[in-house]
Amino acid sequence: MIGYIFRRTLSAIPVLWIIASLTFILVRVVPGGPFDAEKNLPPEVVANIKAKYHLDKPVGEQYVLYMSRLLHGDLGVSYKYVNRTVNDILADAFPVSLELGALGLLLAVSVGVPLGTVAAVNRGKAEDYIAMFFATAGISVPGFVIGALLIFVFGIWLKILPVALWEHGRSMILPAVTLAASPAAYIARLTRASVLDVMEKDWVRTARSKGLSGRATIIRHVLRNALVPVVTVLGPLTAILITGSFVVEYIYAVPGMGRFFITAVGNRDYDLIIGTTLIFAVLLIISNAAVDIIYQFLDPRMQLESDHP
Amino acid sequence: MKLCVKMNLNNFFRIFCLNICFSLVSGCAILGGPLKDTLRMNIGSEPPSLDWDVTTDSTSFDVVSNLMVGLTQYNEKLECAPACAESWEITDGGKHYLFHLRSNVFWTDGKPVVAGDFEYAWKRLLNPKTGAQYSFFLYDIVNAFEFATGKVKDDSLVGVKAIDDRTLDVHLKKPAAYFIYLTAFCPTLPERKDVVEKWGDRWTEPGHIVTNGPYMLDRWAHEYKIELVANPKYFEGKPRLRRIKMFMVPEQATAFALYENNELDYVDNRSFSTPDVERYRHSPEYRTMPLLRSNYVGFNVTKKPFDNVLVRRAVAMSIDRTVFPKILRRGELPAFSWIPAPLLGYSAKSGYEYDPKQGKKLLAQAGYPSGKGFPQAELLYPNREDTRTVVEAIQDQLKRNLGIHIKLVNQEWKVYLSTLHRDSPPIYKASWGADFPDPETFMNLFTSTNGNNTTRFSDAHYDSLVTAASSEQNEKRRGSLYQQADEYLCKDRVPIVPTYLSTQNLMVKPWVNGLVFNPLDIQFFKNVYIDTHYIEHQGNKSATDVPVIAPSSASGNSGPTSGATSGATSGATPPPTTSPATTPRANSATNPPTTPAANSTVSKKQVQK
Amino acid sequence: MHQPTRTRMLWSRLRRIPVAYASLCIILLICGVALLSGLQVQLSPYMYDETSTEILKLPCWSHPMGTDELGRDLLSRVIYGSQMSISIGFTTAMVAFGLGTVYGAISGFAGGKLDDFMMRGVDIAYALPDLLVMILIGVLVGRGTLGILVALGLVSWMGTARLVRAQFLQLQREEFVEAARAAGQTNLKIILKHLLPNSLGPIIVAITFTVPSAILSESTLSFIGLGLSPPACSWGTLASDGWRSLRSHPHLILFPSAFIFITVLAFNFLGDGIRDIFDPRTRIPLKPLPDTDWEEATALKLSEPEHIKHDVEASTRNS
Repeated sequence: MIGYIFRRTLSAIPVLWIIASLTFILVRVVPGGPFDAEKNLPPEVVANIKAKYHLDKPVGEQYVLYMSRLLHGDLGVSYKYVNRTVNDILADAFPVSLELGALGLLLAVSVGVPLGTVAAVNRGKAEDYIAMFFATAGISVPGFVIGALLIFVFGIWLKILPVALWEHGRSMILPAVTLAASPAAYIARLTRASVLDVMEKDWVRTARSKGLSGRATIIRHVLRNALVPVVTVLGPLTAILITGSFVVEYIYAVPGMGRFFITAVGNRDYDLIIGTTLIFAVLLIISNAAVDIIYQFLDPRMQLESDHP
Repeated sequence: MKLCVKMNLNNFFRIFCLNICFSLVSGCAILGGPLKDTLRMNIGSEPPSLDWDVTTDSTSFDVVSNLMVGLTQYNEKLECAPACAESWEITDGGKHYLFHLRSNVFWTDGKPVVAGDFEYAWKRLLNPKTGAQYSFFLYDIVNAFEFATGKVKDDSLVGVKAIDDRTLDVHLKKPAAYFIYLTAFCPTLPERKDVVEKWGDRWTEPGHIVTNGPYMLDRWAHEYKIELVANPKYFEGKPRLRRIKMFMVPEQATAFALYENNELDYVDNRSFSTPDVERYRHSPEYRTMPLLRSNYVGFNVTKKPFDNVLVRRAVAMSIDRTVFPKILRRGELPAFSWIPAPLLGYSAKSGYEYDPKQGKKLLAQAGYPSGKGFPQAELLYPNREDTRTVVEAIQDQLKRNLGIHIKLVNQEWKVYLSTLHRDSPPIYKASWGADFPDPETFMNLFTSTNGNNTTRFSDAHYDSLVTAASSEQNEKRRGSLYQQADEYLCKDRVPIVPTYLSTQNLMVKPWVNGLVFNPLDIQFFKNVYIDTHYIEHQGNKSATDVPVIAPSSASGNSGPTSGATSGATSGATPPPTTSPATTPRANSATNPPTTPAANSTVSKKQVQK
Repeated sequence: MHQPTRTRMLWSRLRRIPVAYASLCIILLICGVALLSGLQVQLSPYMYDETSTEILKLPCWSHPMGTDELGRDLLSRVIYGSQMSISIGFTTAMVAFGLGTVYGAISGFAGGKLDDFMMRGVDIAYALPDLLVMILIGVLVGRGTLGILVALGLVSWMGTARLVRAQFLQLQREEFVEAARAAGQTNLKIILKHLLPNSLGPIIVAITFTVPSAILSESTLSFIGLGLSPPACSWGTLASDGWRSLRSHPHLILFPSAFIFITVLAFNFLGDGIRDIFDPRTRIPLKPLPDTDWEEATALKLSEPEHIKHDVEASTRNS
């Protein structure tokens, strides 16, 4: 196990390096630089600013500088937020995004799994159709529309929840629900499919035939095996949550990483862009690896290196 | 390892619902409402830095303007009034300024504000190592430019010196009549050498920063909010507001929803979309006023087909400016000349009237009768919804009036700026906001040596007029010189075609008093207070308390043709045409101008309900 | 080959799923409108970019969906938007199909080290949140249809690649492939004549799900401001434009969102249906299953791996 974790970490490093490099090149190729301003600066001042940030050096040298800083854990400095390093900015923003994401994930799983299970167990009946309709609807609406509806209903019309900002505990509800809507639907569909899949497996029928009651069968055996694909998808689900957080943070004015990323791209804030990208990549890699490890625990039959489409 | 998941579905749902209900109930008690001594507003985005020597962003200036006070400040009549400097003398034909400082202005850590703080700050602004984008502000000072560009290494040669704690001595290269206005503006505010050197890049964090203005920096939650508290030691007296909360909500609709929920006390352009303007246009909480931000169509006078001055004049005559307020619907002022209305040197006659017939004639003279043979030109504009409707209207007018076809090309803001500065296209849409309330900031833009002159227009006569005006001490003569230059610019050479002035649109809650806006769009809060009397008697009542969606009765109303529609207090009409000596306003160098709103290209027939 | 009858069989299966069938009809209808609109057939009395003075009108007889801030008829814009949205969806699906199939085919067919390496590539591609990539590419290529298509295509191909690869890996072991190899057919022929056609099932399913995902992603991009640049409009740009007027004029966001919703929903249901018909295990019940399904189990004689049976026994003892 430890060996596996170690190997996964090692194999993650080249991935991260490639991602950092790709992003590095990408942001520098994009037209418009960080210091293009409405009031053009005298060239001497521009030269000074560029020298300060090593932007006057050839790209290759900048790359080397950046990578060596990265190895020391220094994510660089922001051009727009002049007094702050990328590490500082992300240190502030990361907990907020984490809170929001965790709550969203919790909501998504706690709504999605029961919904999918109910649908699978009652396959073909009204519960199934209703549940699946809601689930499919959930993945068919863009996130900002869900947000708009929620803001309107709960904030403006009923006036029982804060419309935006991150002031009280209650402020987390609407953003988390907006964030969780799509993943919950996705999980519901997936749970249903995999529960059905497992339910049809012959050994389950064998268990039934041995006299286990329906509910116990489901809970004990079906779900544990059916949850395997669901756990699998938690990896890319993290990606979905991260992506969703961009829109949610923007709509609800939540000070998370997604917001910083979007403004950083608009400002061509190179180091902040790469830094945020790397953090997201790390999150995904960690969640994928965690998923694989949990997978291993759940079902010893599965090979650790096998693929799961 | 078996996972004993006791997934009793019913229980799950029960617990889940309970959680939600609990949070809802616990929150029910606190609904949005006015706070007795706190002002809540939205600055829209994170100020990149609060270091006023370095920053150029308008959000930063919104904050700093309430934290600090400089040599001068402006009063309600937008005149340059004494602040840290209680008096000053201008001698040597306008080249020598001697400021006498007050003795009772203190920093928040108790130390007095001394002339040396100004000298340090100004030299730091000019220092090439600081990389300040506004260093050009002080280039009129002796040796300032040379120091900033590294030709002079010794900063003691720069013409600003603190003779003693209460006297600041400034020598200019040439007389600059507008110089006094610069001293009220953010880049020229004093700084404490010991603080800056001690904390380095972090000196503006709460706990490190020292300021001398009406409010102090209490809390800064990045990308979220800034909180200011009243400074009891402020030399004009402690402000009535105890606390100011400046939130950073980028999405207009969200911000306006907060205002409707009484969680913000006022909103400005940053939080006020045009559909909402439509909706609340007749509300008593609505206010509008023109800003010193002029929008124009620019030409690159070295590129075909607009290298021909007759073509440019034809275009200037063929755009009906009254269309813009109709389509933008935010009370814009049509502009025919470059200097905006309230400033010195403004004259309605400095530009061409709308005369498409004459325009057609000129175009024919230029060799393109009825637009035949006119090569297709591409008009560049930044990708904002409101800008698009403007350029669509221009495209439409040029097609109808002159028969020429313009293709519209847009680029993302940064890319657009980069294109303009590197190699501006033959025709483009741009805007320019005043750095300080003086015509110099507008006229200087098109001189040959100005780095922001994207028109490549270079004319000795124009240059000489502007230079003469900038040094002219007599106000009347100065005004006349600027006016001549303006007319020469807009009628003779026409490197640009002014279109309209942007406006500020506000909604202010009835319990907010003392909020005065100005054409430079600087938001000062030192005279603001919350009317507790109103709150006690009227509670939360506000014009936006409409529970049901009412269709906008303003749809189809005749748009304002010039200026404001509501007769509310703050400056609905352009301020008087004296040279308002106000604290100059920084241009948001990295943000696009905050004039949101898209509107229809209304045809010329009268708009009917 | 059994293709024609197999297709007919699949088709008849599909028709028996009412939801999928209805979705197909809806999709065809919408695509029809989009196609007509793309062919410049005038479906509405107003042009999509025709501004007027009747701004911000609620739905009424002359404007069934109301008008926007510039007095443009929303119905015409939604019809025009269908053209952009549907074409973006399909083009992205095609790009994903092309890229993903080729990539997955090579990876799955080659196997071994090359497969490992290529799948690492997919992992890396998966490791980037797709909105992030889309934003960066959108800014790089610039706004406009090309930028969006590139961005969307680049984030959508991975799923198809994995599916195709898995299929190829599995099919490779089948007998008919061995036979073909023995018969001396070239690799390319094997891929084209045997492997690909039999992989079509999952590929079609993947494509059917790529379309709605692309439509949704495009609308999110528009919301952030990186979508199509005006005057081109799609449902996504319409919905995000309408966001600002949510409070005062909700029809501006409701109608485009409704269309996005219906179209995406239809594609998702259709995708579900297609997946069901291709999957031999899930026999489509012609009527709802009775609850006595379990009794069938007793009649079945099955052999199971030993340790699983043991598992079941252990737990029945504990229950």
